Amino acid sequence: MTDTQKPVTDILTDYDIFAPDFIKNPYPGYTEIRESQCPIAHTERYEGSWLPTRYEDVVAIAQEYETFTSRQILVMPPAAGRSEGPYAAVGAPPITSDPPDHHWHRRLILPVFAPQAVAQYEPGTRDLCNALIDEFIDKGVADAASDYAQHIPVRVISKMLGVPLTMEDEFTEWVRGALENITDAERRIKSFRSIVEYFIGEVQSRAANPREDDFITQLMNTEVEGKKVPIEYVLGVCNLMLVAGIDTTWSAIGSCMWHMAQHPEHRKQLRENPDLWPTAIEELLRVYAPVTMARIVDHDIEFQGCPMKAGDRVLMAFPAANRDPRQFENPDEVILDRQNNRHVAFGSGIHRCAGSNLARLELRVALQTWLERIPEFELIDPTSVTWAGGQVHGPRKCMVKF
Amino acid sequence: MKVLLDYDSCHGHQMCAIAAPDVFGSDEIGNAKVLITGEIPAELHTKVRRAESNCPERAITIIE
Repeated sequence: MTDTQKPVTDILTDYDIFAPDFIKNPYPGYTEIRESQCPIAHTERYEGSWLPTRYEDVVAIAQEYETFTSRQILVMPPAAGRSEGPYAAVGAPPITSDPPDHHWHRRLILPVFAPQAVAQYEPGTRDLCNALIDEFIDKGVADAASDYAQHIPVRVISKMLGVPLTMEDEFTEWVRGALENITDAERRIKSFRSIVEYFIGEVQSRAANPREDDFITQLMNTEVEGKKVPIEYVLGVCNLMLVAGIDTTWSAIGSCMWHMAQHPEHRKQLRENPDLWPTAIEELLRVYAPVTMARIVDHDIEFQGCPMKAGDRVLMAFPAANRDPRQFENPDEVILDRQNNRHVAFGSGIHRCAGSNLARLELRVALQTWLERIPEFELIDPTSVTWAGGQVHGPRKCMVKF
Repeated sequence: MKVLLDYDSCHGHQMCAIAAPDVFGSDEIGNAKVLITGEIPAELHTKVRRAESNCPERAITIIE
């Protein structure tokens, strides 16, 4: 992919969300676009895309699901060969669904993710955070990203799905292969097929030996209008649980750890005033929103003066929207008790993140448990922190000492 | 003060319940549920205003 190697000439007409500087810190680029005469930028890279950066535009596009469809939702075009093979029809419903199917695709999974339903995962999440900390607390150093954040969502999701925790490394590898790797199309296809094949095995084993109560069994037994849901739906939701539930939350936890390592005043504020946690979590989600999704334009349309064509990709830069000064005062500042915070870290409209309550819980428990056990810590070397970006933004190596 | 929820616009962000948990809760699918349908006690007004100003879908209307 040579698109990543050409230097950017003009960010308004040639942005590159995979340029190393942009991956590391996309916010100056978002600001430059947002405050220009052309707040919806365009690039020819990666088969072309539009990049709205103002809160109002991102939200308007998210709401217009008939014009801006979810036929594809990744920021990169699909790898060649993705639409071939026996399970090519497996998506990640409901995130990849459009109405009318979207309605039942989403309705079926929502009860599992309601706040009162995810609350049961809090003690287990706390235990697993403590177990991770036990591994390194005596060493005085740890990688807050790869020794801590990375392990939390994958274990919670595995438990929820009812699959063995021993799959952790494979799941992590597949999700990174699907979302973080931009150059190796073959690995993207392989990652997707590995996920689908794994869950075919899980479905078959449950069909042979029914289990009472796990998420996959519940999905398999779900009926819509008197008929069992199709296998593609079951596999698609399992795929969604991995690709939407692991990399995203781990990135948010990692970014927040990176922030806390550099802000003793915020650690102190949370220690002295635990009532701040609810607003603090929303504020951290606003500032460090990890996810950018895409939409595909259904028909030619002029949107805010931009001539969008049917089939064009539009990048829903929620992280850019969340730092729009038209919507948020001092948008680049973390204000733990921010009162007006209509952030869209989880998106907006019918595709709003279904797992948001679980993500919030994991983020809060991960931060609380760390801060209780390791109240004082700092980055060893800020320049050695490495990042993933593009689809999901967050640190991948983040060494801290304590 | 009373609150009105536009249930069709609500997509379950739960930001109202975070801002004003005595007034907003969650239904079985995680969408907002108004817990106080009548007059909202004065001590909760600030929280209710925050709930309104935190809803990304602008689904909450305050009637005073």
